[in-house]
Amino acid sequence: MSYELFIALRYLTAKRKQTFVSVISLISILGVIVGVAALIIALALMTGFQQDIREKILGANAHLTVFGAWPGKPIQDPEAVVRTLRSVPGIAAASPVVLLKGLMVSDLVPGGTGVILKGIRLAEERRVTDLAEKVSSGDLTALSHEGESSLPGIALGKDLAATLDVAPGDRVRVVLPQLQMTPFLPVPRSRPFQVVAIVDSGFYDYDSTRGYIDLREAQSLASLEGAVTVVEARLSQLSRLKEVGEEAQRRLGKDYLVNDLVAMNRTFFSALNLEKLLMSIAVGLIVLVAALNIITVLILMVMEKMRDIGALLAMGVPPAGISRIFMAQGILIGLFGTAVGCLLGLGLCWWLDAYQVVKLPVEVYYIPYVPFKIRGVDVMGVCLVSLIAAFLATLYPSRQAGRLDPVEALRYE
Amino acid sequence: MNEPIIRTQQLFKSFPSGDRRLQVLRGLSLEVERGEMVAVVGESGAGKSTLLHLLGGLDRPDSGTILLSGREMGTLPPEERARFRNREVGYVFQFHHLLPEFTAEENVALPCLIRREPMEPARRKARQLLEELGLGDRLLHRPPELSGGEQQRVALARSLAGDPSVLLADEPTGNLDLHTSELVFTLIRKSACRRGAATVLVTHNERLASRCDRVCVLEEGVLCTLSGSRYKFGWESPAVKL
Ligand SMILES: Nc1ncnc2c1ncn2[C@@H]1O[C@H](COP(=O)(O)OP(=O)(O)O)[C@@H](O)[C@H]1O
Ligand SMILES: [Mg+2]
Repeated sequence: MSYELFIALRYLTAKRKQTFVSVISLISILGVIVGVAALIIALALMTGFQQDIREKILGANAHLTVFGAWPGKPIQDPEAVVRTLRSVPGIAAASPVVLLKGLMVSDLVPGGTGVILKGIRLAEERRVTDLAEKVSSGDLTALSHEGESSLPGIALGKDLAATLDVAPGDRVRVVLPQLQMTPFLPVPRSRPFQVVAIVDSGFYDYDSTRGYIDLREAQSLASLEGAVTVVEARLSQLSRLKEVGEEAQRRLGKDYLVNDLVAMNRTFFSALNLEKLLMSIAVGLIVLVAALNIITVLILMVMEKMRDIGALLAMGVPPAGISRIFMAQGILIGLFGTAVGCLLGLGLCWWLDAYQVVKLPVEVYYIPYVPFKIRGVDVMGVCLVSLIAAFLATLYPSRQAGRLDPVEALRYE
Repeated sequence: MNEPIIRTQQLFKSFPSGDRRLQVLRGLSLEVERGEMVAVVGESGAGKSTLLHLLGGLDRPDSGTILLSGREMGTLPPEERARFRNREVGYVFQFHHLLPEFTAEENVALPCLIRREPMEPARRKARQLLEELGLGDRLLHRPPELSGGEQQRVALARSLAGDPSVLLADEPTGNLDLHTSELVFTLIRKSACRRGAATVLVTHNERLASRCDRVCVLEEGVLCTLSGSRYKFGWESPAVKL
């Protein structure tokens, strides 16, 4: 072991009469530990949220959505579009969909609430989104054939069902903002449905607004007669989203508009990334404070060890060697604090995630508990930042120590 | 044997004092041979410590030359000077200046560790030295747990650990009682003699000074060698001008 490390280690570990300095050095180590652990937890939290939300967005949405050339223009020949889409390499499935905006009322909530109705072909929808896996109660297959009460079936998002206070078996009425001529007077188009299933996508935006009905039912409700509003498609590999989207657009021509999932949620995804960055910076300030602590400890240590420094210089330690002794102390604090902080952070992340410790109000967040997902690069980045900060913190005090005049150090009382 | 190990010529050293300069050394010259022990006496503030700092290269003179074993200290770059000091110079101070967090053995091992010798041989050598100085049963004590005389003996062991050719002792017995002073002095004398080191011993103790090979008085910035009986009364009284 070099004398620098030997002395630095002893200075850090020896019991000393000036408890003040050892308390401060303890605080500085704690600072690094807390900083590193907090950063790791914060990043794991952001990653957890992002992954969770991303998965939900990816699952609940089709990867590509084809619209008519201008907003609101129906697609008159959906089968042709579906065929073209299926011919594009990389597209695994495509399915025609009718999206309608309307109002839904129930017996218990006659005031109703705004909804988006999605008319689907169940067999094809299964291959495009993960709707079928998200049914929490009831039976989605009842959508396609008439229920026992001869009313058409509807599946509701779970928060929507809660708002309307309905369960499978109950009735709801859908009202569209389009007028229908009756022999007496024009009335809004409306139709009763029987709730057959409740869908829990875990995505509040969807679960609070969406109702799912059979495609033909939606077409007749909106008088579309064979036309649809969009055609949705799923890719076999999400990584090629952009190229496949462009290829689909090329094959469909300019009568159609192909939009991909990421483009449609662009602001959302970039907001997520920005949030992660801002959070890292905020928590990174803790590491900065820890580094400042290290500077303080080292400056106090240099003052406390003035006579030792004089003796060491007299024994032939070069000025650079004195610097290295104090640099080693700072680096040891950094290394130890980072290692412990890292383990602490990882342990806490695991615990928080495995036991779903932090619950969330479901109306506000997309998920019922805070997920923590550790990424290797994040952990390495945090450790690197912490070690670099500790190293930088040693520069000033160790340089000052190396500049001490031996005679003054020997005379120091 | 009579090639001087320490050879200084015309040393001048001053310190800033207010807006003027305090001239401490004014053309001091000193030669010490291998195995020779020179006592330096003088009033407090005469510049004795300053002289030892200059001799060991801890400070630089304003002018003049210092040759240690034929090397000019002043011209060496700091790293070289430190290495040279580590190999050639041993210091003993009035206040032992041992490192309080290290055991006696570790303190004595430091000079060898500083020159990058491995830990085990350095410790072994330290044990030998401490045993030689009668501290075989104090190896694992830390300085605060030792008596003043023991502390100075550990400090002496440390100064000898690097096998220096020059031993510089600044009032090593200044804080010790008569009997302990005697013991420490004898140990310094014996071990320096055995190793053939050139020793400069600053002391206030008349009896100890008289037992050195030569006694020099530092007065008005220069050294005067006292010969024969003169020193017995000469340097004690400031009224006597040399
Ligand atoms: N670094 C310094 N700055 C200013 N004055 C100093 C310094 N070192 C020593 N002196 C002065 O030089 C004189 C000699 O000091 P010193 O060599 O310690 O004397 P002593 O003979 O008692 O050991 C004293 O007057 C002291 O005040
Ligand atoms: Mg002095």
